[in-house]
Amino acid sequence: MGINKVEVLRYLGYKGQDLNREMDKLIDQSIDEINEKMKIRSIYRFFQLEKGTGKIQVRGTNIELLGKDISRHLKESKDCIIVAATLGHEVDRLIRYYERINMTKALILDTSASVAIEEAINKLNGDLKKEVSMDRKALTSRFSPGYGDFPLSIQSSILDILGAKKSIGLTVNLHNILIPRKSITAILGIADSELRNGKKSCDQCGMVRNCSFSKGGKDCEN
Amino acid sequence: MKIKKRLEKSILIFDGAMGTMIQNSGLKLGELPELLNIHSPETIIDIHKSYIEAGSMVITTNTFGANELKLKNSGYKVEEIVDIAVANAKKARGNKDIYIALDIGPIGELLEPMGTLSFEDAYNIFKRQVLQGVKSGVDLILIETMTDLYEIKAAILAVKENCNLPVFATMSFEENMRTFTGCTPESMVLILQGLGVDGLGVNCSLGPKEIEPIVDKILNISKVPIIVQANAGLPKIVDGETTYNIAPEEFAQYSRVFIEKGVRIIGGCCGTTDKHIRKMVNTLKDVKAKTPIITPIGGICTPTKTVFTDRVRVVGERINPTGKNCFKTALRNNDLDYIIREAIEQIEAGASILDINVGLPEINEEEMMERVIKEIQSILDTPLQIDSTNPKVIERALRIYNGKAIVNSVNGEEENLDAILPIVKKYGGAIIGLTLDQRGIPTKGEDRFKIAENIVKRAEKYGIAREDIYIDTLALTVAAQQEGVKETLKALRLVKEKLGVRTILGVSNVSFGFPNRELINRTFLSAALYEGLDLAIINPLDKDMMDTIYSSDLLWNVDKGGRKYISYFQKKKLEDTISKEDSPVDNLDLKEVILKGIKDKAKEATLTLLTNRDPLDIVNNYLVPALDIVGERYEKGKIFLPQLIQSAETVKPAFQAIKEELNKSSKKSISKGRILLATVKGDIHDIGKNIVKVLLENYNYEIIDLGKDVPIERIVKTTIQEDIKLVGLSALMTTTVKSMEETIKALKKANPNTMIMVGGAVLNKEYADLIRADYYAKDAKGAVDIARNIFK
Repeated sequence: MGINKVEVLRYLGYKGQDLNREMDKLIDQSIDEINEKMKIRSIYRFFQLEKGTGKIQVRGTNIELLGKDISRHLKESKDCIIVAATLGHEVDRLIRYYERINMTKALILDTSASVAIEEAINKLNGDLKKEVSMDRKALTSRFSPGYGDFPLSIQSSILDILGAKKSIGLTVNLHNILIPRKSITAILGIADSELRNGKKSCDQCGMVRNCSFSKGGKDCEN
Repeated sequence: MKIKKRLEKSILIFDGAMGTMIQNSGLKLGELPELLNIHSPETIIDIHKSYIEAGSMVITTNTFGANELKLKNSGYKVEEIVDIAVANAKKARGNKDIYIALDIGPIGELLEPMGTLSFEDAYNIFKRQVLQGVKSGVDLILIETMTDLYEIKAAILAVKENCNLPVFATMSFEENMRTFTGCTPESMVLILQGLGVDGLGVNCSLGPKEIEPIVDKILNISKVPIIVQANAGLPKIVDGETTYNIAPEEFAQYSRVFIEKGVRIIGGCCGTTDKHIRKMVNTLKDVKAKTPIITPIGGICTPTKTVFTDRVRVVGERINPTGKNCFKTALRNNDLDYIIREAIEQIEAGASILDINVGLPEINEEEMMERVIKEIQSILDTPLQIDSTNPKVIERALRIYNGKAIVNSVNGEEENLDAILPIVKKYGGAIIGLTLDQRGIPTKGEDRFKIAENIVKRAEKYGIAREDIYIDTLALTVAAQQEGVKETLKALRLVKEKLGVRTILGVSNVSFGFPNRELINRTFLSAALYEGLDLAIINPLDKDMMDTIYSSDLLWNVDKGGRKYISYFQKKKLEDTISKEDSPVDNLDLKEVILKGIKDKAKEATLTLLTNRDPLDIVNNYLVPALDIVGERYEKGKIFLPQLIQSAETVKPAFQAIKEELNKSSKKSISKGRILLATVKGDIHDIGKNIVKVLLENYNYEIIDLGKDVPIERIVKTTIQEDIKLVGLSALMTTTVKSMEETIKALKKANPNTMIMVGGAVLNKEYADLIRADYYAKDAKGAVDIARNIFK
């Protein structure tokens, strides 16, 4: 799987400016280096949901999904899939290295890695979509801790119920930051029929106040 | 019988999985298995009993995650859980001849630099578990399923410094023979056996089949007994449940293979049950313990890189302030970037090991050593040589070093040996012995040999093995003692032949005071290599020296078929052609160079200008206007962020050249003002802050960068101490804006005149006002505008 350069450029805020040859080469190189250093590991598990007022219990576990946004997101779902994916420590190390000697490259590497983890989880998402579609079911878009009012503090429990620390080496620190840094956890709702809310909504996004896409009248999905 | 005694003659069989057995009894996902010790003791006791009945000689307490972080919200203390867990194991044991192992797993949070937990915090977390385990009466400690060498080092130190119980330690590898954090089996062995564990090995992650090649590597080099606790195969998810499919019979057969190869301690991990252990015990009944024969090879390492000293290696000498004014200034100014650059350049030039010397009378060597080592090991994986004569500095360095280091050095004085050798032994380092003592450096090679002999004897007495001893027969300057050069080499030969230890020399000393030093150095290096020099402390940026090393490896049949030699010179040739091809852009004007962001041309272009222009004139008429154009283009969207940073970074070497020129003529400083930058407590996203730093630096502000996750007190303290006028704070997460607010409050209280600017993805102008920041910087360019406004 390759990292999409167009996406990398978009994340970097590129809007068709004149790209000189050196910069173009640096971007290609950075993408290659992330491709080489990343080791995508992922894990997922199916769960049943028990719905109460204002909270959702994940059956067979000790965790509750709190907040109105996640409730709305899982409105149509009786089951869900919880996923986690990471690019691994090597990528973090590479970025850390270049932050000391070449900030331009560090920024491009960081961005390429962000694109890579998004792509990795999208691919997993796609595979799971196919899997559930065989049972004539559909998936909601992915919803991660930190979206809307869904608290980041659930990260640790998510990793615990997936056994993610042991199986993919994904941990979380005291401040709920995933480590390795280029990692994502998310919840996908399973619903009976085709869903209308195929697109992420801006109001659910933690970045809404300061989104560079929305400033340009666009959103991050196109 | 004592467990260590027993291990000398026979094998030891551990139990199988605890987690799998607990899960079978219906634990909810996400619940802490350790709480069952209290809520359902009979479940745990039954599991222990079933292993004892199956024939386990050692049972492991249900305390894998019984640390203060994991138990944080459980309502129980570490001590309570450990005590009850041990009591449960004791109940299961009754009066049978079974050992109880205190189980210690990973903390669950990663240590610095990957994560944010400090080494000493990790140490203290483990210490609580160990102290209670000992108090409750366990027979040994098992540290297992570790993936980070730094963490396992903290755990082992917590055991060794707080009790005398035997300690076994295992790590989990993936099929690529690395742990999640990249640690290799070789590095694990070098570090763990250095720290003095009683058994080391592999557990979890893989089944016995996949573990075998990893165990083979360990068998080749480990001097301590090896432990293997494999999973019952690779995990498979069936109907949402994790399953393992190696049956007891097959598992037992693999165990037999391991024991026959020389593994001494065996048990099972995930997916194994009492059935696996029972089969294993049966299969191993008639198998005799075997001690693998190994040839000890010296080596040092970091978690991801092992450097064996079985052939000539280059030790980079440049991280050392002696005779270097720039370096001294860097140390005084805490300019770690300078030191990092020195490290990187040497590694790129071919250094396998870096010597680290930060001793200056006016700085705190202990603190500086710690900072430099932490910085280097956070981005580089080249093993280090700790260069200090102060035992306190050495101990601090070895403690926080994530790897096995060489200590440079001890000498033949009794007092010196007694002060330093025990520290080196404790942390499992290697040692350089200088052939001098209280009487000075003997003139005769034979007398230097005698000192070497004594050092080796003493080191061995302290438990340091010969392969970890490097003798330096001292290269003196030919200008002062011309007849001494031969004696150095004679002593080297004697040491090599008669003591069987390795040798090391600081080669460059020899030429001091003579013209054309490189030639003398190179000739002396050739001679020393001929006499058997193993580690050459040289300047790897000196191409001639490196050439000599490569050709010598070829001539001495180390570089088989000359492959390394050929590829080294092919690479060299290529570099030469590339730099020639690049020359056409030479005539670019400095402004153009900056606008285009051609970093490696900036210095040259500046130097050209400096031949006929005043340094400050260049700053005002080239650098600043160029940056302004870049800034404007960025604001208008004509260039994008990477291009802005690229241009800013291009200014850096230009300023460097100008500063050097100004230093020469001792003219006034050109700094426009000092700014403190920090990412606030709790936040570790610092790329934005670093971008701001690059830009500000290149508008010629002096930056004091406190890094990320910075405690409020540290920001306040530094602001006052350094009399800072402008502080820049960064936060990327909504959750850490709170911490930003508190930092601002504390800063304003301590010094109302300090101006504070804030930035970061979640902030905007209204937010910034709300938390009472003086300025909001919407991006890096915005920060520059604010600085300009303040330092008018």
